Amino acid sequence: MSPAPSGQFGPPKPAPNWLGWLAFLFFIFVQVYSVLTSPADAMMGHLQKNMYVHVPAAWVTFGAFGVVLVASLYFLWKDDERADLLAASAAEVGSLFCGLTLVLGMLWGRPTWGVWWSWDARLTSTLVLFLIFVGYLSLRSFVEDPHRRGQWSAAVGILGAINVPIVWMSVQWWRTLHQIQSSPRGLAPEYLRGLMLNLAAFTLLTIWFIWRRYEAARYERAAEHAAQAAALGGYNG
Amino acid sequence: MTTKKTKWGALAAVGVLVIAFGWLIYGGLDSNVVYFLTPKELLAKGAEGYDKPMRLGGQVKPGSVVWDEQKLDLRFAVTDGTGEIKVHSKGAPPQMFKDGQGVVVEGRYGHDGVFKSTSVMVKHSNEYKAPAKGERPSDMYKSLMKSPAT
Amino acid sequence: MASGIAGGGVGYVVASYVITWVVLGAMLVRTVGSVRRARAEYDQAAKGEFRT
Repeated sequence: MSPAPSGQFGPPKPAPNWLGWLAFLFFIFVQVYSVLTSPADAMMGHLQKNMYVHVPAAWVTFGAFGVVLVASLYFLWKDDERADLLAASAAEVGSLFCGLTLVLGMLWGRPTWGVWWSWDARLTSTLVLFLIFVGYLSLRSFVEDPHRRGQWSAAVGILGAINVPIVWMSVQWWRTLHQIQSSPRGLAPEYLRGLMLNLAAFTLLTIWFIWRRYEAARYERAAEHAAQAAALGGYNG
Repeated sequence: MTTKKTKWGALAAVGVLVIAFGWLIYGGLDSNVVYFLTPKELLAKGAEGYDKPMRLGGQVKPGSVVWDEQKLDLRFAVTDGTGEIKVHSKGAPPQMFKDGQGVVVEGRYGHDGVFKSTSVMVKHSNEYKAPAKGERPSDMYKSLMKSPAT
Repeated sequence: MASGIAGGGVGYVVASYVITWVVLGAMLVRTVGSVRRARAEYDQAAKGEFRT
């Protein structure tokens, strides 16, 4: 028997509509712009344009899992259920982008390396990251009690997020097929501009996605609270 | 009271899991899972290096590529500057395969001193630049894949 | 020789953009739908609460 979790809460503050419009319009603009303005790369031709989706997707994956880490720690510390809901939303969005990163990477690896996949440290650790968060999401649907669910998923969320720096550094620490991180120095300015714009666009989209998913989760919980209150016979402040 | 207990319990569980997980997955990786050996390292293994499935990584030694388009037979040497190992492979290499390119080959090192490769992978650098003026990328790829005889 | 990069890898690039856009579009639809549904559910529950 766990006592009632953190205080009940009402409906969330909705994400502003303009943010969604801005995120998507900016994204569309940036994608079209970067594809049209970047010349074919000397070594790999138009394949270079894969960079404008694969790299930002990986980047926002790391960012989203960073949100999971912070929110999970906050939940364990303050026992505030809203932090748990935020972590869950970020985990969901992060997993989506992580899966996308893997698929986009394969679409680049096949023509460049000659193989869709290889078990090097970068690819393997990214797959591990993805699987942990898929596990995180299914764990949430298995545990009924919100308080328990929060604690278990916070544990898995933190565990998963610890992988992020490992994935990031894997290309430095071990010999890999995957090249090391591209640095502005190794990138011609016309590519760097496209990459930076896409990073910004993906980040904006991710913020909006997490916010809206969090909003939905808040409404769901608020509805449950309201239903409970109704069942207990009225609302008494 | 219960909340406090479960909270610390959860934190302890996280700690244990993190350490166990980190040790399991990554602790041994450095010593056990070396993605590829360089020619120098493979040669240093001596008799132990033969006939084991492994990956060999290095650069395609310039001028060493012999490609028979009819038989789909590819021979080249992989070098790391010090050591050098001959590689024999069947089938067409990836498009970006060329002299001086970083490659990773999978296969076995035979007693005849030739690495029998089942798969040739091209390692891409992290640099990107547009082709020089008057040079179309498609032309470059064609020239990369010309047989070495020409 | 083998095809692929000879054409600049256009097929692979197109595939990566198509997949990205489809995935993000699907996520947009799902996200907006989930907010709308949860909101309606909440409004319903809140009404029931005050009726008693």
